[in-house]
Amino acid sequence: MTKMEFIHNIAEKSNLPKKDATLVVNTIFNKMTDALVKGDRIEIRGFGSFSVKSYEGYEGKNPKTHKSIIVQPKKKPIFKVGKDLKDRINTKL
Amino acid sequence: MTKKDLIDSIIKEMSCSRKEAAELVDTFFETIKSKIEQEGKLKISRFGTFEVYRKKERIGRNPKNMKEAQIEARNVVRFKGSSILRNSINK
Repeated sequence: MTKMEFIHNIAEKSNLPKKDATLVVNTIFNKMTDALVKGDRIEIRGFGSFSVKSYEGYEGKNPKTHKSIIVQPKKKPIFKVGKDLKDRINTKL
Repeated sequence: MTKKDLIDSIIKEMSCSRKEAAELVDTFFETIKSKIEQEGKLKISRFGTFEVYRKKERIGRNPKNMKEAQIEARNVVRFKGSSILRNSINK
């Protein structure tokens, strides 16, 4: 399941030409990417929320060679599932 | 950022009404949700991958009163940002 299939599904469901569906999908993902790059939180009710978490740097060790390496501070996108999606993936346990 | 901001950007890009844009955004998220639900995985190039992951049952503890409680097996969604997304966040 990739973006191409996803665009195809959107085109079908919304009765849009593929070109327009592509524009919709790219606009939404670009907008969400921009928000995360700015460090903004994204909250979509029923789906979930995205936030950016900062991690401090630390000194790690390569377990094979025992060489120390410095792990630089980094930021990671975090997704927290929303209620509707959470319920839906838990119906058939 | 909320759905409203996404609807605004769709209105701008597609020059459509607010109602149409709201429907498109809803269809977008409904499709993402049903894909994750049905296929257990959704990979969006340049953005990231959503994956359903099963967590086993375990004994947890209520941090307030330290009472042990059974946490049932459940499914969770994991998201891994694509390397492109992670790189642009760290720039």
